[in-house]
Amino acid sequence: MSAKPPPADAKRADFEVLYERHSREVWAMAYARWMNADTALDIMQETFLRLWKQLEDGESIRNPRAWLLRVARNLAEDHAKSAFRRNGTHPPQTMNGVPAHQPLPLESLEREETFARLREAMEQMPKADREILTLRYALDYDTGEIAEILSINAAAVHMRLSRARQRLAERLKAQGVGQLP
Amino acid sequence: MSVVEPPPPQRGDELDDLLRAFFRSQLPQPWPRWQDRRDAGPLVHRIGKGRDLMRSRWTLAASVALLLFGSWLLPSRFTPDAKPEHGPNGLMITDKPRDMLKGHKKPKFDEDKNKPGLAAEEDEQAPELEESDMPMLR
Repeated sequence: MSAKPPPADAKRADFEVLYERHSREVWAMAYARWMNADTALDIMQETFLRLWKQLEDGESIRNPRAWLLRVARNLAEDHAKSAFRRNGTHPPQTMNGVPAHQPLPLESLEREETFARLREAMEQMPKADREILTLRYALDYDTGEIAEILSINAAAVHMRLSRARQRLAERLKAQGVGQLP
Repeated sequence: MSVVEPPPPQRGDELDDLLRAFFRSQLPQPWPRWQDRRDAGPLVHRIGKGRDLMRSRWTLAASVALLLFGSWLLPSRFTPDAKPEHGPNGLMITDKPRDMLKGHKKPKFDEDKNKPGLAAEEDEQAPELEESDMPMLR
């Protein structure tokens, strides 16, 4: 194995491959923590900036996927400390309830209402439940892929997913959410 | 040939559909390329960080200055030799409270000059405890 550091173009190519492969997973992890798409994008971006710095400094990362997910989780937790300062007394989700200037069609309104209730229900669930649901439904990952990313076995994924869905269904039922509009 | 109707949707299927639709609405479309994000995002990020850093430095400097000013100002006001300032009507601002204290306390302190006032009061008020008064110590 040569001790020469890879040239800049090769580094760049490696980095872009990693971004294509894992950026959605990183986003999903951050989204599961905050339930906010923009915040998740910011965290994802910061995670990959740190990866780029590591590569630029010539640091070797044995398992980039695990490294990225760990950094994303840490950044998501750090974000909690500064969230109050940035957003004041209202969480960013408050903005979801602010009506748009243009009146929406009835169907869209019903859909948004249902999604708002779903989001509310998910926010009350444990983080582990949100993670597994995000991976399953946002990224369409199967049991094996979820098991790999969460470092648990397939049976545990199956059980956790089943329980998370059951808990979510109960919460939605309690909120009076019927079916998808 | 018989037409088999699909089974009615179950609660679980509805939940799957709902979750898929919800997460589809949340995922950024199209997914941002790295180049796009790098050009737009980090600059804003860095400016924000720089502002925060400057603000925190100014706050720290102001706090230290206030602390130093306060530590310089306060001892000069409370030195034992410093004479109290006169009020607007010519009386000393602190005369009244001192006079009031004199009227109530001083005669009592003068009764026993060997003892300090408070110690004398404590000695008078605190009776000696008998052994029977302290059952817990037995």
